[in-house]
Amino acid sequence: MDKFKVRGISKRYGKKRVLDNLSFELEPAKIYGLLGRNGAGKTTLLNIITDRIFANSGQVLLGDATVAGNRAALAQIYLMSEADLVAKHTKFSELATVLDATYGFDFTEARRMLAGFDLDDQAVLAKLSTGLKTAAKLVLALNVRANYVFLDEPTLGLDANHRELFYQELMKTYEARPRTFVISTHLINEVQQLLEGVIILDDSKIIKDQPVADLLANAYEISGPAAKVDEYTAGLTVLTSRQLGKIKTVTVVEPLPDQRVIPDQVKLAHLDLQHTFTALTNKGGN
Amino acid sequence: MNKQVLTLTKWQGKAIAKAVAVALAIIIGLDLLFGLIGLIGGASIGSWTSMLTNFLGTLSGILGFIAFFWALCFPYQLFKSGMAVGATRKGIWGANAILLAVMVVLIWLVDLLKDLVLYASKGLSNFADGAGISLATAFAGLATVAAVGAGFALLSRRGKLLVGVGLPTVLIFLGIVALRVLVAVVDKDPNRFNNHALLSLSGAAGTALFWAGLIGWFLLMTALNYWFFTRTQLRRD
Repeated sequence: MDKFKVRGISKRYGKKRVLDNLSFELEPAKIYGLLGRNGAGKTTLLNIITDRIFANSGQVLLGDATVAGNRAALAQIYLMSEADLVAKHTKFSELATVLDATYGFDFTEARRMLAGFDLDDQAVLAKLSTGLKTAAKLVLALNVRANYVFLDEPTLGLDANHRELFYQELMKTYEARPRTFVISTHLINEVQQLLEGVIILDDSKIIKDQPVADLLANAYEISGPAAKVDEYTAGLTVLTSRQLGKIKTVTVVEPLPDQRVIPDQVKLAHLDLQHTFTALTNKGGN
Repeated sequence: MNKQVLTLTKWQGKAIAKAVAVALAIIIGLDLLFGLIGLIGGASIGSWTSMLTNFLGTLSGILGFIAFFWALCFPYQLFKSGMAVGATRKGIWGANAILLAVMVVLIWLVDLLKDLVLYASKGLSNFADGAGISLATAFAGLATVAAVGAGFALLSRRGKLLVGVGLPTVLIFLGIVALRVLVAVVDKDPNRFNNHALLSLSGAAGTALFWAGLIGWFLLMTALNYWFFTRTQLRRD
C-alpha cells in the first residue's frame, strides 16, 4: 500500500486564508484523528484531498502519483462527508452498487451492519433522520474497499448506542482488513482510544502531527501554589492558566526539563487528548 | 468506456427514465381524461394513426423538455453525485455526454417514427428527408444548452440568479432588436415577410458550409462543456 502525501496545500476563499501550506503524510493501515476547532479548515482539507475542490497551491500524492484527476488513485480514497451530495431519491442499495464500480463493496458485511443500525438497504437516504443518515453513510464508508477512508464528522446525530456500535464496527473492519482511517470529529474523548496518530489544525496551519502516544507523553497539567508553579514552569510555554485562590493550574504540551526538580506541593498529571487539544487551540488561554 | 462511467451513466439514466415515465403518465392521463370528456360531449374518437402520432409527439416533447432541463440545470447535481462515489471530473463529463447523446438519438428516433406513421398512408419515399440535418441540429442545439448548463455549474447561487435572470433578459432584448433591424433592412414592408434573404438562409441547410458550421459549433460547445466540467468544484453554498 502506498503512502499518502500532502505537500504544501494552501487554500483561500476570497481574501480569507483557510489552509496555509499544509504538509503531512499518512501511513498505510493506521487510524488518525484530524482535529480542529470549528472553521479550522478540516472539511476543506478533506475536500481537497479527495479532489472535490481545488487547492490554490500544493499537491496530494498517493505514492508518487498525483491524486487530482487520477482515476486509479481516487479509487483508493473515500470520503464520507457531512454534506449530502447525492440526489434526494437515492437509495442505500443504489449508492452501494455505484460505489462497488469504483471501489468494490462488501455487500454482505454492509447488510449485517445495517441490521445493527436498524436500517435496510432499501432506505432512501434523504428520508432518514440525521442520525440514521449518518449511520447509513458510515456503513457505506466502512464497506468500500478503499485503502484510505476519510470520515468527516462520522458521529453527527448518532445517539450514544449507535456511536458505540460505530466504534465497534470500525475496529472490527479495521482488524479484518487493515487500512487507513482518518476521523475528523469534535468528540475527541470518544475516539482517543482508536487513534494512533493525530493531526491538529489551528489558524489554517498544522500545529501538531504526531503519534497520539508521543503527544500525550508531553502533555501535562501542573497545579499547586501559584509561586511554585510559576517557578517550575519558568521558560516553558504555558498554554492555559487558571487560578483559584492561591492554587494555580497550568497546561504545558512540551517535554519537561529533566534536571528541574518538581517542588513540594506541585502536582503533575498527564492530559488526555481532548484537554491537550483544547490547551493547544485555546485562543487567549484562560 | 470504463466501468465507473458506465455505472454513473446507468445510475443517472434511471433517474431520467423515471422522470420521463412520470411525465408521460401524467400527460397521457390528462389526454385520456380530456378525450373522455370529449366523448361524453359527443366528439368522435380519432383514428389510431392520429392517436399514435399524438402519443409520439407527446413523448418526443417530454424527452426534449427533460433533455433541455437536464442539460441546463443538472450538471452540478451530477458533479456532486459523481464526487460522492469517487468519480473523476472526466468520468462525470463522460457520463453526462453519453446521457445527452442517448436522449438526442431517442428524441430523433421518436420523431422519425412519428413521421413514419404520418407518411405510411402517403407512401414512404420522402419520410426521412432532412432526418440527418435534424439529428445534427439537435446535437448542436443540446450541446449548446449543455455548455451553458456546465458553465452555470461553476457559479454560486447568487451568480446563477444574476446570470439566469439577467442573461435571458439581455438576450431577449437583443433578439427583438435584431429581428426589428432584420425586418427593417431586409424588407421595409412588414406584411411581405417572404423575402429573398430568409429564403436563402433556409436554402443553406444541407450545404457544405452549413455542415461545417454546424459541426464546428458542436465541437466548440462540446469543448466548452468539457472545459467547464473539469473546472467544477464543490461550492460552499
